[in-house]
Amino acid sequence: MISVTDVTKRYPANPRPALNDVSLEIDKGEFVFLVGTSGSGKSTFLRLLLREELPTAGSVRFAGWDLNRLAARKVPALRRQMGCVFQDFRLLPNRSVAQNVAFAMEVIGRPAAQVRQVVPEVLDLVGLTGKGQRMPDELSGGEQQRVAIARAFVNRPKVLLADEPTGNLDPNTSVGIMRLLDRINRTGTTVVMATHNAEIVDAMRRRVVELDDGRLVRDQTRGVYGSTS
Amino acid sequence: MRVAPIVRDAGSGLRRNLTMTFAVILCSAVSLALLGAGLLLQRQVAITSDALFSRVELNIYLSDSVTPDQQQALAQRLAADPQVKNFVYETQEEAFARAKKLYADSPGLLDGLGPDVAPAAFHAKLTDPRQFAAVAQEYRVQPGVDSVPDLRKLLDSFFRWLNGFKIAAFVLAAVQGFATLVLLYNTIRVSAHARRRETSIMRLVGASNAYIRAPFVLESAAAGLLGGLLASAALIALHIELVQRVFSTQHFTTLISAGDVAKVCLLAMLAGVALSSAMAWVALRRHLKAADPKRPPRRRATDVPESSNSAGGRSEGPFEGRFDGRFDGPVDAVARVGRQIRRPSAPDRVGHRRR
Repeated sequence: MISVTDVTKRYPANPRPALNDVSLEIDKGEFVFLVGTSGSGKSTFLRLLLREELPTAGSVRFAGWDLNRLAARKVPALRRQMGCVFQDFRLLPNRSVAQNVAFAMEVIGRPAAQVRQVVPEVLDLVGLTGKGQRMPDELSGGEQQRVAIARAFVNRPKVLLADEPTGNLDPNTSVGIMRLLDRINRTGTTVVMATHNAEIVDAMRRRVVELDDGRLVRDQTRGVYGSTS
Repeated sequence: MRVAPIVRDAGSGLRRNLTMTFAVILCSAVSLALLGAGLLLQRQVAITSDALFSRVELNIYLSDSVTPDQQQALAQRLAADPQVKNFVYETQEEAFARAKKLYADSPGLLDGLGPDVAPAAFHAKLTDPRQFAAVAQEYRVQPGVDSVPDLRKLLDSFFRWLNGFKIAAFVLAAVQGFATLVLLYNTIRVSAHARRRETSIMRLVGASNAYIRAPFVLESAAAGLLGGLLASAALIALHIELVQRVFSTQHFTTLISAGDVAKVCLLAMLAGVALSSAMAWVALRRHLKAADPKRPPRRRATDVPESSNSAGGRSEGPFEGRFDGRFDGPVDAVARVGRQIRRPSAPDRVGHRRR
């Protein structure tokens, strides 16, 4: 599904590579935690998958695409296979919850009838039944993140990329979000989640990939947050 | 692809940026009106010159000393000349009578003058008025001919004026048009900046560049169309004014028809829509290119240094400290969690760092 081979990424004006010779395979349906200190390269890794950046060296493949060779005009097609969730939710404040989710379908040209049908379904799935007409700022942080996950998932992506989705949430709410991500994972969606949340990683016991200063230092199938053992 | 959301976006974009939109509409209206005026003037010049030249006569004034033989020879030559459609001979008496009639408004002008001051003349119509100069030259050298004035020399200065106005209108239209396009460019950029959140989310969920552009292009097309409509209104009002006031009392030439005006108006609207959409397209090229990893965004003095961003970030928050690059073994998970909770949110971490 995702295949990263010997990838090095250097940003201009920074002699230290953000990613240094990283190789990683992620299969379909996996749930992968990406851990490491700030600046260890987690976000860069996600940006490379999204093809926001190109690697300085090495190759990134996703679902049969070679991202290095992917033409710029094909990037939208790539991103339709991916859902993204961020720490800061990134909802449109002037649209209702349902409109925020519908937005993701509208911009890729889904028919209105389908949007009307699917949006409430997905809101049910994320536990926001009946809150479609609320505005984002009327919701709690956890609920906002659920909207963001609904938006990421509504087009049934092959992979869900989450960059510290619980970073702004209290522990209880975070657990709720993780249950939701786990549920999405059980539908067969690959989930790659960058996180600092040790409790969650330890509780979930899923594959853990640790980056340290741009290098891959640990890859455990059922790992915990802060251990090299 | 669904149209309704694009139209809705375009509408809200126009409303949000009302003053700028207004400026763009007015500017494009002025430039399109100037362009239209230039085109109409060009058409008017063509009509007027056709009308005048088709009425131009070849006037062959005979010298006082012309002999009947010479006059006869000229008449025969004119009759045989394929360039001459028809001709009349005017004696000195007839010419004087015509002059008297012509100057009837100014009595005393011809007092004390007799028919001998008016030259006898042949007045000929040409089959092809464009051959005027050549024919005139031919008759000028015949014996008994005093002069064959070239009327076109008189008209030339008139046409020079009209052409001057036409060129002035085109130059002004070009300058104003350029200003309009620059204004439009800025308006689009401001509008795109105001909506960068929407567009960044659009890109993340896989909207095509064309889809992201569409509302902006539609917006400026609407502004261009409104400008074209205003320009058309101005041109039509001008035409009506000219027909009813100025040209109703003179029959020197025919005026451009309402059909010509309609054509130019249509052209002005098309030009308004086409130019403004093209400009929006171009203005957004850079906006969208910034997301293209093959072309890293241009660095500006105001940019945050790359190293403080997510990727190379070594000092992200006040609690992080400077990481020395070594992994310090197992870290107390509680401390981690605590640090994370206190850590200020870093927006746009994976997403678009700069725009």
